[in-house]
Amino acid sequence: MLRLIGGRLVQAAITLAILSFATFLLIGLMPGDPIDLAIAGDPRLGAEDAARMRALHGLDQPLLARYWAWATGALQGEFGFSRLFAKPAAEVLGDALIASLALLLPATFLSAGIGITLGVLAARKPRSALDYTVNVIAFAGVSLPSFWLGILLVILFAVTLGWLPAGGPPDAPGIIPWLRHLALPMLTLTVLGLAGYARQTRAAMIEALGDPWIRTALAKGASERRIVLGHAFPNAAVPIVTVAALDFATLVSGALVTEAVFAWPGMGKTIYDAILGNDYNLALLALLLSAAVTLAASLAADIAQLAIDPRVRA
Amino acid sequence: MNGRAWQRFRGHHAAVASVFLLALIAAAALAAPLVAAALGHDPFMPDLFKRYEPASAAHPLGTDELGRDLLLRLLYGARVSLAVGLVAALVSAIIGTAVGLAAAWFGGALDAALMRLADGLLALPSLPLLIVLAAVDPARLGLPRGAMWFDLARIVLIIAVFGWVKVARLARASALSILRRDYARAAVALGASGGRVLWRHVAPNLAAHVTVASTQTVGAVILLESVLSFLGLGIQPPLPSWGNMLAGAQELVFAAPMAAVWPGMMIFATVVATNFIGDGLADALDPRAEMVRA
Repeated sequence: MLRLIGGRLVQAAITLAILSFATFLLIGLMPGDPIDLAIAGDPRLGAEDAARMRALHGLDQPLLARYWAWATGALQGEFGFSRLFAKPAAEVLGDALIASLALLLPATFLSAGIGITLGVLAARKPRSALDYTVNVIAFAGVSLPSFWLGILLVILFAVTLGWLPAGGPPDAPGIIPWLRHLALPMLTLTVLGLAGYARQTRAAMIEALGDPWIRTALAKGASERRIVLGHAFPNAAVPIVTVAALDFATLVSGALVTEAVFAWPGMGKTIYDAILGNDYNLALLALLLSAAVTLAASLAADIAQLAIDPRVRA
Repeated sequence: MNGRAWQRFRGHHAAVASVFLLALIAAAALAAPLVAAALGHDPFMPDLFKRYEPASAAHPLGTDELGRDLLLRLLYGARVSLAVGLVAALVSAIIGTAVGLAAAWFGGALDAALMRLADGLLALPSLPLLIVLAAVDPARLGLPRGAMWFDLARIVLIIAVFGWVKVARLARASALSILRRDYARAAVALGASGGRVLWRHVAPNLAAHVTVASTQTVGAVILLESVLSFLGLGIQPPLPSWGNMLAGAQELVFAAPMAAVWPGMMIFATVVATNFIGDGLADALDPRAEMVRA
C-alpha cells in the first residue's frame, strides 16, 4: 500500500516535471513577450530600451537557461510575479483557488447528490417511465455545450426575469451578493454534472443488482430498501467514487468555460486570462497546480477504492 | 456491416432518426450557397443598417450584430463544425490505431513508452492544455498565419493531440488479444511480415471496435471545437462556426437573445444525433458490449 502510493507520487512528480518543461517551450511560442507589450504601450521606448530590458529580465538568455532558472526558483517556492495582477503568482492563484472552491464544492455536492439519487431510482425499475426520463436527462447532459447552457440561463434569469446578475464577481460585501453571483454558474455546473453521475450510478447499480447475492438476499426475504441500499449500493459505490474524484479534479480547471461565461474569477478563468494575457509565470503555475490537483485526485480515488472495497486490498 | 448488424442498427430508432437529422443538416450545409442565392444575401458582408432584424421573409431567423443573415451564417457554420468534427475524429482514429498496433506488435520499450505517454495525457487536465496549444503563434514555427485552410488544419491537429489516446489503448488491447489467436500465430509462423499480419489479420478484426469508439467521439470533438471557437482560440471570424457565433452573441445577449439560441441549438442537436448513432453502431457491431452495459 505504501509502496503503491510512493510509486504513484514519483510518477506524478515526473509527469509534472515534463509538463512544466513542455509548457515552458509552448509559452515561448506564443505571440509577443512582456517586453513587446511594454514597447507597444509606450512610444518613447526604442530598440535599445528593448534590448536593455530583455537583458535585465533575462529574456535574452536561451530557452533552456531560462527554464533552469525558473525550475530552480520554483523548487525553492519562488514562482515569480504575475504580469497582469502585479502580485506574486502564488498569491493570485490562492485567491482564484478559493473562488473556484466556493463554486465547485456546492456544485459537486448538488450534482452528486441529485445524480446518484436519480441513478439509483432509475436502476431500481429499469425501463420504467422514471428510468426513461433519467436516461434522457443523462443523454442531454453529455451533449449540452456548457457555455450554451450558461447563456440560456442568463437569457432566462438575467434578461427575461431580471432576478439575477448576468455574471461577474460579487460587487458588494456580504453573503447575499455573493450568493446571487454564484447562483447561475453553480446551476450550470450542477445540471452538467448530474447527468454524468446519473448515468454512471444507473449503470453501476444495474450491474450490482445482477450479482448472485442479491438473489440470495431476495430469497431470504430482505426488503427492497435493504437490498438496494444495503447490498447493491456499496458495490456500486466503488466506480462512482472514482468518477466523483476525477470529475472534481477536472472541474478545477475544466469549469474554465463556465467561469469564462459568467466572468467568475476562479482557477479556470485565471488560466485563460493568463495564457491570453502573456502572463507566463501565472499561466505556468496555474497549469501545474491544476495538473497536480488532477494527479492527486486520481491517487485519492485509488486509496478510497482500497478503503471501500476489501477485495482490492487482498 | 453485415446483414444482421444492419438489422440491429435499424432496430435502434433513435439512431436511425439521427442519421436522417444529420443528413438533413449536412445537405443544408452543402446547399448553403444555393440558399444564399435564393435569399439574395451575402453571409460575410456586414450591413450596419440591418442589425438585429427580427425574423422575416427576407431573413428567416433575423440578422446578427453586424446585420448578416443568421440562417446563412448557421448553414456556413455547419460546414465548418461538421467538417472539423469528422476530420478530427478521423485523424485521431488513424493516429490512435497506428500507435496501438505499433505498441502491440513491437512490445517492450516502445510499448511501455507509448502507453506511459497515453497515461500521462489522460491524467492531465486537457482543456487548459488545449488552450495553451491553441494560443501558440504559428508564425514562430515558420507557418503562415491567418490562412483559412491553416486555421482548420490547426484546430484538427490540436484536437487530435489528445484525441488519439483512447483509440490507441483500445486498439492495443484488441490487437494483443487477436495476436494471441491461432490464425494470427499461424500467419507469423508461416513467415508473414509484421505489416502483413497487422494489415490482413489484425486490422479487419479491429475495425468494428475502432469505428464504434470513433463515432462515439465525434460528438465530443464537435463540442470541443465549439468551446475553443467560443473562447476565441478556434475558428476565427469572419469564417463562422457555431462556437464563434455564440461568442459574438453572448456579449449582446441583452440586445438579441435569439442570436444566442440558434447556434447552440445546432450544436446540441448535432451532438445528440452523433451520440445516438454511436450508441446504435455499438449495439449493431458489438452486441456483447451492449449486453454488459444494459
